Amino acid sequence: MILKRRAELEIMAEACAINSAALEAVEAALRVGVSTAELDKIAEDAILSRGGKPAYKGYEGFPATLCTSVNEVVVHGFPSDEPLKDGDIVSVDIGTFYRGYAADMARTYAIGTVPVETRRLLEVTERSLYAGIAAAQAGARLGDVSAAIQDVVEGAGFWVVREFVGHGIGRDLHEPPEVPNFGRAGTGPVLRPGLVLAIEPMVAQSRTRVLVADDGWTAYTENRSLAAHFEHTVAITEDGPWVLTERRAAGNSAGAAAETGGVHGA
Amino acid sequence: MARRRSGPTRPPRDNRQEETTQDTIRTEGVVLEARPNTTFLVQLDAGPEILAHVGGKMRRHYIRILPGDRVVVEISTYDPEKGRIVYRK
Repeated sequence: MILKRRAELEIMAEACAINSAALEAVEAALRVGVSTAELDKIAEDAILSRGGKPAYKGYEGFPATLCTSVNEVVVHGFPSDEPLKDGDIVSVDIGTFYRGYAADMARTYAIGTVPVETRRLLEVTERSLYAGIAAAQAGARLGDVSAAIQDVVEGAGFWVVREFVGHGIGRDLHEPPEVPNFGRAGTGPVLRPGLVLAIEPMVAQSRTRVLVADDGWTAYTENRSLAAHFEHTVAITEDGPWVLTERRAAGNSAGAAAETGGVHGA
Repeated sequence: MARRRSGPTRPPRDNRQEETTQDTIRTEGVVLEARPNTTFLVQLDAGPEILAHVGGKMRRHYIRILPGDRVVVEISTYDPEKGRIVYRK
């Protein structure tokens, strides 16, 4: 695990601010009929115009700035010319490199009108992310974060995706440790100030395996149940978790756990 | 961007073991006759008649077998006269 100094965290916060601004630009364009390729273009322009560099493009061969994952696609979907339809859900995952440091975040949006149960999936997934963040205290263990997420998801009757996990982040997009969204409290490495994690629950509506399509990336639920994905880049500090990708708070937002329940995009 | 989890991923807990075992041959046939103890005489498409019982998974789901049904049969490689009905077409 690589710990970052305060000055490094400040740079990461700038990277995250660019990343969040780009995601906001994408959000503003979300509507029925827009294609994910158009969103990808918007995101890329937004990142480049702010002096950042898309972190995913070229990462192990990934072809785009965004991962756009529609409906049963869990993560790592390719942007396409297919227009989004009323009733779709789309996960937008975005990453930026800025001054040598990475930022990583994701949200899932409802397009047009979706069933109540779908809306609940998005709400629960976001709530589980904030439960994980609240558990990311200096001195706590990694398993505390995992268990907090799992409790929320399974308490709501949904399924935690096992095949993909969150990760440490810093100079590289993916650093140790892996951050599973399931596990036992009180286990795993102790979280130390300066550690930065990308915490990212991926949740399916019902118990399923997640398979990867022949393109080597697109991960989808085997039983085709809908999947949601929310992610923040979070620094562990003495004063509690600092959600670097939180757009409202420029400073330390240890109270982030309180601000759940939010609105889900378009 | 999520990271692919390293190491073997555990399958979902309710992945029941398939009734298929290694040492079986899967073929199709037609049920000729019901015999005692829920066994059936099955005429295989390949020719021979064999005695087959109904697989446990089919019993659990109360799938009835009647003479004339087309069925999928798994035959033991140890005793080619006996088999297990695993599917009703």
